[in-house]
Amino acid sequence: MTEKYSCDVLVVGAGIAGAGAAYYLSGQKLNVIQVETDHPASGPTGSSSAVCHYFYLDRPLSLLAKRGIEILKDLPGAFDQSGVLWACGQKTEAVNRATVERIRNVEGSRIEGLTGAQASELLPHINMDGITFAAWEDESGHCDPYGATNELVRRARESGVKFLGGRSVTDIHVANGQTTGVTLSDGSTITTERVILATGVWSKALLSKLGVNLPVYIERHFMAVMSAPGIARKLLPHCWVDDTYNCYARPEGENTILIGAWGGGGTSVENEALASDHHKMNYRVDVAGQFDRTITQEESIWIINHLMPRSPEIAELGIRPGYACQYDMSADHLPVVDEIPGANGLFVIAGSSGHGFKIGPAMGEAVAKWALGERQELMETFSMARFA
Amino acid sequence: MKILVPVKRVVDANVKVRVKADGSAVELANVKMAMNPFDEIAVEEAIRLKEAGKADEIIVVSIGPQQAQETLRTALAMGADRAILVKTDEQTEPLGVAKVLKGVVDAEQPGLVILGKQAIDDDSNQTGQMLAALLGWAQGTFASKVVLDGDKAKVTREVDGGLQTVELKMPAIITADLRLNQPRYASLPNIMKAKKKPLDEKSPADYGADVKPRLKVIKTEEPSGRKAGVKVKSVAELVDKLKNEAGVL
Ligand SMILES: Cc1cc2nc3c(=O)[nH]c(=O)nc-3n(C[C@H](O)[C@H](O)[C@H](O)COP(=O)(O)OP(=O)(O)OC[C@H]3O[C@@H](n4cnc5c(N)ncnc54)[C@H](O)[C@@H]3O)c2cc1C
Ligand SMILES: Cc1cc2nc3c(=O)[nH]c(=O)nc-3n(C[C@H](O)[C@H](O)[C@H](O)COP(=O)(O)OP(=O)(O)OC[C@H]3O[C@@H](n4cnc5c(N)ncnc54)[C@H](O)[C@@H]3O)c2cc1C
Repeated sequence: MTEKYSCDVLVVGAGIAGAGAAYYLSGQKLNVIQVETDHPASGPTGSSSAVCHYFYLDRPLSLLAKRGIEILKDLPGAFDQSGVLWACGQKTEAVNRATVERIRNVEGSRIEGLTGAQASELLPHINMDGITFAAWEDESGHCDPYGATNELVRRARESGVKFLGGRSVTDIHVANGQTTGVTLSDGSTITTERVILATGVWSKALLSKLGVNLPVYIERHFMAVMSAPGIARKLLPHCWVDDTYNCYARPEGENTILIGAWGGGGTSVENEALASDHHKMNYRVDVAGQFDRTITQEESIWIINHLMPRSPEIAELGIRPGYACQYDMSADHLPVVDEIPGANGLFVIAGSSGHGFKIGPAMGEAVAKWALGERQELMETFSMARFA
Repeated sequence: MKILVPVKRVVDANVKVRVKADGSAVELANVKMAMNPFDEIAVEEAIRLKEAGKADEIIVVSIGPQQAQETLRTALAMGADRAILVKTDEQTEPLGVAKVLKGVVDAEQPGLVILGKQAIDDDSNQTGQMLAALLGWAQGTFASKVVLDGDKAKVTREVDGGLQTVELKMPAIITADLRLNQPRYASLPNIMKAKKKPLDEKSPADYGADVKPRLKVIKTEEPSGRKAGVKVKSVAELVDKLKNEAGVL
């Protein structure tokens, strides 16, 4: 049945960013609709490792993480304050030390600098050889991405946001430089002057219909999953990020440990063999949603080898089937957030480049405020124009 | 005692299967394959028996294309000792497979053959039973518990009415049901070790077995889509629908 809707603000997508936008807008006594192809967190958000920390060399990301984590911590049961330890070697020590100082003193987030020995006490099953410095956030941690996103959407609906699930926006209408509404996959239309596109990897194709070339691309990223029945938290009580071997790991419940890796590039690749293998990995996704979600044994092993030097105990656990999902990437690995030039009232949140879970709720909130006419200086650093 | 565990390479249980456009069969091109889940359980049971000192050697065998090697390597990584690939590009059917297995049993003389109760691709649920008949051995199918005692195997079977325990004289055939155990996941060091374990390549002819298909598949169809659900307003309405629409009350 096709319908004609109208609203003050339309949020497209119910990943963590769209959920954040809808949640903020639900408190504003406005007529708000949220459209989602499937269900909340059905996209990359639901597959996210959802490690949440403030530690970023880029200040805008730290600030967004601060607000994002604040919002996430307010959701009962969704946030696990497991703590995040981010370790580095000599190569990046100076800059990481300065970053910790900045985050603590200027931004006022809870973080401290530790020596390798102190880091060992926190994670005794990780070998800290060559770790000269570690950023430690004892009240950060990881989130249940599915639960958090659905809770934000639930709250938004409870406060009056109309949620249209199982439907996609197929076309965005713009007349004389002003956004006027959208058409949905079931033929329904929504008349509105403000649209927030929080459609992640799907944004580029949607905007290209308007002749807009969003400067983002898609990558397939994969996770190894280790079987640690009853001992996951003993082996790895905190989230672990390793700047030296380009790898991270976190406990998932009591029986499982997740491991991710970002070979090549990075800050200090001390493991040349892994870095060269990186280029052989299958990262490419040409069409949003069209990629292999399962991963091969070789892919699992490639990831696990990043942890092997630091924790054979974890790296030698049983290997469960891993999984892959999509990153929406930009060339400088910072989000692309903007009001689309030539389409007043059309805002996009994309390109979150693998950081998007922790900062998602804050980006959603900021863009919602922007759509309501409040200038968002922080968001201006993410404009499309920086690539022009 | 040797234990023989036949393992089949099938479409991964997490993959949504699709029927080929011409309806001749399930599409296998570019589809992720894995070990039949019931065979993982069979391998696990064999390993546990070996760990408990009840067996000395676990031999895994797969009858299928070259790629079935990967499935055998998975079993070796879990803990099997050596593998035999009986290579054939024919579409294998339970009878052909059972004939090859009989040949392998004659050559290897195992005390137990543990199979999966069925393969999740064609759900035939026949291979173990046919092999028992060809060998004239006792069989304990749908096993949820196996206890070895001397030359006897006590097998608890999941049957419609509940559980039935049978005592088999070994050598015997056991087919594994879902609740027999929870298979382990292979670790990286064991995957590496498995690459070096012996894997013999044979052909059905080496065992004098004829694996030519005897069955003709006429048509393969996808299940019809499930109808969307409806929301009921009250328990009374639900009961009414169960009675009058679904006819289940
Ligand atoms: C394996 C993996 C691990 C990660 N780990 C971390 C981590 O540890 N920490 C971290 O901060 N980030 C992490 N990320 C990144 C983070 O998960 C993403 O950046 C973030 O979830 C993106 O959220 P989003 O709301 O922008 O997009 P999405 O999750 O992509 O949501 C977009 C939504 O829009 C819907 N949609 C798309 N098109 C339409 C349309 N036309 N109409 C209606 N709806 C539409 C989709 O169905 C989807 O639900 C990870 C990502 C992956 C894949
Ligand atoms: C490797 C493997 C081995 C297996 N072995 C066995 C076995 O040994 N024995 C066995 O019995 N099965 C076996 N199965 C089948 C498996 O157990 C079934 O898939 C499972 O029982 C289905 O239960 P479900 O609740 O997930 O199914 P669903 O498909 O989710 O639901 C089952 C029924 O619940 C009802 N239902 C679902 N959702 C709703 C709703 N929202 N409102 C009202 N009603 C609803 C419907 O009537 C539906 O038909 C096996 C499957 C696999 C993959």
